[in-house]
Order: sequence, then structure tokens, then C-alpha cells
Amino acid sequence: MSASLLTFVAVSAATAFVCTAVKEDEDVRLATQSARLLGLIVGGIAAFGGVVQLVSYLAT
Amino acid sequence: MTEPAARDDAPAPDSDDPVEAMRLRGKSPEVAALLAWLIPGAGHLYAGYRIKGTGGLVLLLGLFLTGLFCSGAEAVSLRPEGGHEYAFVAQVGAGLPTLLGLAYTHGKLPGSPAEAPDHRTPEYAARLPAIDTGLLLTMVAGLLNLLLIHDALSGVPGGRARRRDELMRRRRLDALRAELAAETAGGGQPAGPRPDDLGAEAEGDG
Repeated sequence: MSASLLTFVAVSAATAFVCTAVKEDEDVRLATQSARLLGLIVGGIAAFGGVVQLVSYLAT
Repeated sequence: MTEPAARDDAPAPDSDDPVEAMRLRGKSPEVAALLAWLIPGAGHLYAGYRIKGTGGLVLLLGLFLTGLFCSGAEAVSLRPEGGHEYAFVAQVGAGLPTLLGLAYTHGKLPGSPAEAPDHRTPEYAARLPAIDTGLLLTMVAGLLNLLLIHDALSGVPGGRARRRDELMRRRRLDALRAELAAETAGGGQPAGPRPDDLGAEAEGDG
């Protein structure tokens, strides 16, 4: 479980950094926008997972 | 007619094209792309982008090596039995680590296993989740590195497009303000070209 979470966060962090690096060139903006995108990815997927869990729970 | 105020962040005339700008700095985008393919992040380090290069190197190479470690290098394999040829298409985006992993799996490096593991044993079946994780990490690293390769080949444009758009917006805003000021001062008579014309002119300049 923890290994899966770690993998998820590592893949999300690499994705957020690379996708921001091609759009930004100032160090501060690169850091803040990477962190923002990482939050969006992790938060979005976690929210989606939560909704799926909730619907599954309500359906059973 | 009031000229739009010059901005400090306007791109210099010789740096409008990022590829040309990189060549003017004595760096070749093709070499940067080749280095980026061989080692993730190396192309940006070569081009002088230390933060991007180091970030790419640590994150992508870290992902790839973690994937290789998780799977015992089984993730990169083109063996007829138990190989991952479709995954290899994605993994090959990270050039040198993929080739080294492939050489290791196929017994071409010193210390690599002499023969392929038996895929029908329970021991191998127990390793399948780790191999899946390794496949995921190496594939994601290879695919993300394609973005860095393209970025290096494009001269690392970064925020140029965003800054140019912001400059255009400021110029249009300045032109509108100038027209409004002229109308107010002249009792409603429009002075100078219309803002749309100024915007088109500014776009032609940019």
C-alpha cells in the first residue's frame, strides 16, 4: 500500500515537473507552478478515487 | 499618436526564435536533443538550464532506475518469452539507461544473469507485482523524457510565448488608454489609429 502511494506520488511529481519545465524558465515560477500542478494531480486523482469509493459504497 | 511604452521584459530582437537564440549562445539544439535522449536532463544541462536539467536528471533518471531496481531489470526485456516489447517502445525514450538495462537483461553486461528466469515458477509469479511497478516507472520516465527531448530540440522556449502574449495585452491596453485620453482631451474626436490597428501592428512587431 505504502509502496503504491510512493509510486503514485513519485510519478505525479515527475509529471508535474516536466510538464511545467517546458512552459516556464524562471526558477521561482517553475517551483511554484510545479507544486501547483502536483497538488492538482494528486488532489484530483484522490478526489476521483474518493467519489468512486463513495459511489461503490452507496451501490452495495 | 501615442507610442506604447517600452517594457523591460520585451524579448530582444535576436532572441525571438528560441532555436536561433540557442545557436547564438553557441549551443546546438540537435546536440541538446541527443544528450536529452541519452540521459534525461543532460540536454538542458548542456544548454545551460541547470535547474531544469538537474530536476529532469534526478526525477526521470530516478524513476527509471527505481523501476529497474524494483523489477530486477526484468522490466526492460525483449526476450521472445516474457519480454515486454510494447513497453520498450515507451522505455526507449530514455536512451542510455534503457540500452544498459536491455544489455543487462540479455546477459551482455558483466554480472548480468546468464540465463532467462523460468516464467512458470511460483517464485517468478510472486515477483510479478514488482515487475509491473518497474514497467510503470520505466515507461513513464521514457515517455516524459520525450517532452524534454522535444523541449531541447525547440531551443528550450520556456515562458517566451507567455511573456509575448502578456506584452501584446499590455500594448493593446496602452493603446486603448491613449485613445481614451485623446478622446477626453479632444472633446470626443478620436485621435490616432484605432486600438485594433495598434494591436495588429504590435502583433506584426512581436
